[in-house]
Amino acid sequence: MDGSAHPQGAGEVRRTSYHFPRGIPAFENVTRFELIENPVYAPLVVLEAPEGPPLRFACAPVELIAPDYQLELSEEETALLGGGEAPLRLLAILTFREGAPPTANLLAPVVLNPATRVGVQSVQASLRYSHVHPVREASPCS
Amino acid sequence: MLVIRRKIGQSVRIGEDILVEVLEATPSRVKIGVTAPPHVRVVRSEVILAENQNREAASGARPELLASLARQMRGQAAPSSLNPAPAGSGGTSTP
Repeated sequence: MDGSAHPQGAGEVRRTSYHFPRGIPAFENVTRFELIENPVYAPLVVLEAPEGPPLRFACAPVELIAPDYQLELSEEETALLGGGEAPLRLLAILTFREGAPPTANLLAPVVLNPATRVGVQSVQASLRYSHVHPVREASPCS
Repeated sequence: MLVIRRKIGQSVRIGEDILVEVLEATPSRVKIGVTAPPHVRVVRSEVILAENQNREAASGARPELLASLARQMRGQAAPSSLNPAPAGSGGTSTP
């Protein structure tokens, strides 16, 4: 990955631009996102649209939430992502709600190809995965 | 819910303009074709779930929540729960 790095705090914040040819569901016109890897938030990352209205998603690596996750890509998605030797990165978009534990969207993971810098959000057809998968149980006190 | 039995090649018409045809069927999957006017949006149900989830997720990715969850995922549990504080309680613009 050859994204730019900006010193911040104890580590470096790395930004890598990805092209999303189809946008993502509900934001189809947003075709460029930056993957922001900030050591403060590791292992979490942020996907942020650098242009247009503020749009930012917190994401977690899918393998940390569902180690046995089985991704099914359509032919179109496979073609969009392109080839390359780098393994695909799978990210689950996180949702934070007041008074509830955060959840991860495993129904529609973000798939990034570091080799081509292309990303898609792949909405899975399988009912095996939830769009509100609990990440951690909230502690009883708040 | 209206239930109609159809075979491959048979179809169902919805209103005047929408045609739903069974193209293929296997024990685990059915392939259907939908013919509809341009103003009628046809998507898989899961896509609607993903759209709604993205809209909700986009509004709540506050830095302090990320940092708290990150600490927990690194095995350094934060003293407070992961329950978000009420909106407008602060936060920085750090990505």
